[in-house]
Amino acid sequence: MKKLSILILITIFIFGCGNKKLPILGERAVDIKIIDGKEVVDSIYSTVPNFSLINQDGKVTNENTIKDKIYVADFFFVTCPTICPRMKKNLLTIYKKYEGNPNVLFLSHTIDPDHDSVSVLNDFANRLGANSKQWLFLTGNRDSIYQLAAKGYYATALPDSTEPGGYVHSGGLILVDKKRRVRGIYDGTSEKDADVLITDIEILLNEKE
Amino acid sequence: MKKSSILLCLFCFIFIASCIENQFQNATVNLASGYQLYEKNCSNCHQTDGSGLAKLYPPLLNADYIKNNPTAIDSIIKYGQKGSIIVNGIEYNIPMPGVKNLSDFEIKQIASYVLIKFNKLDSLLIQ
Ligand code: HEC
Repeated sequence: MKKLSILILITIFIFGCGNKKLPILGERAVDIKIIDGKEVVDSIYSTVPNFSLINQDGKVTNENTIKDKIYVADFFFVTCPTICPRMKKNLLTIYKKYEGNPNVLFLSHTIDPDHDSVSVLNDFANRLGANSKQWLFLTGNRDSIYQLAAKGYYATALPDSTEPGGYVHSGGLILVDKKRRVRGIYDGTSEKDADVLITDIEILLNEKE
Repeated sequence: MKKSSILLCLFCFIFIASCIENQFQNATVNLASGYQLYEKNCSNCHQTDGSGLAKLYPPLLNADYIKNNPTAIDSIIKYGQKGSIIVNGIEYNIPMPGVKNLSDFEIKQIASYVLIKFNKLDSLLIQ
């Protein structure tokens, strides 16, 4: 019994002490190269694909916008009665913490582009107090947004007439690193998860390439 | 003779006291279920403490709009609310959808909770 508890203590010490690293999510391919006659195995991680959407100022936003940035992505819609307001509250808390930090961006994608036009998103962002340089509210082609959600961020967003508001979506906040790799998915409705997300942003900010 | 009248008085007193007690309990029970209904149907936008969110969702806590229109809550819950309104000096203009699947009694419970807990408008509960 005593031995066991010592063992547990030691494991806690080892795992709890070292710098916490974040996993890289998604499928990975293996690339085998021959360098100096030796086989070198390299993992290729999946990354967020290229995209082209419009932000709340009517400006084109694409992969160049997020180049070398850490960012938090989410999917929502303005008239959402259920989980989005909680997500936005937690996002606002995180945004306030990094407001003015040029390394951290926020990308909120609408999944209801028919209603959420540039001007609707602009009004929404202003009411929330979000600066369009750092917190981008994105609209665009419906199918490309849904594809991006599913393929790039492992988030589901589907029209569903049985759901209040007409859509089902995951409510996740997705953390992406400077190399466009997804490093964590958090429950956007949970304040606890928002705290974890902040710690994880710190880890990414301190991560060496 | 005197003894029995004292006894009678005592009975009366206990009776009245238990009555008041009962009423009090009813009010607290209503507030408890009002709280649960509020959490389920309103708190995601107006927040658990009723403080609202930025300029998107107006506060229900100490809201002049509610103090000026205390009887409007029922219909706001039922049918929603649209157009520009000013609450505590700030303009809000995002449509609030009506909350479906609530009975009139449940709406009353939520309204009481908002009036009493957030705005200290106790007197309105005595109907
Ligand atoms: C989807 C988000 C949302 C939900 C859920 C919601 N509201 Fe609202 N509520 C709003 C918005 C937005 C307004 C402002 C409407 C406008 O601009 O005209 C508002 C306005 C109000 C107002 C009048 C303004 C004020 O602050 O006094 C009251 C009262 C109110 N809501 C009560 C409730 C109650 C009670 C519930 C739960 C049964 C509820 N709301 C659920 C978003 C919501």
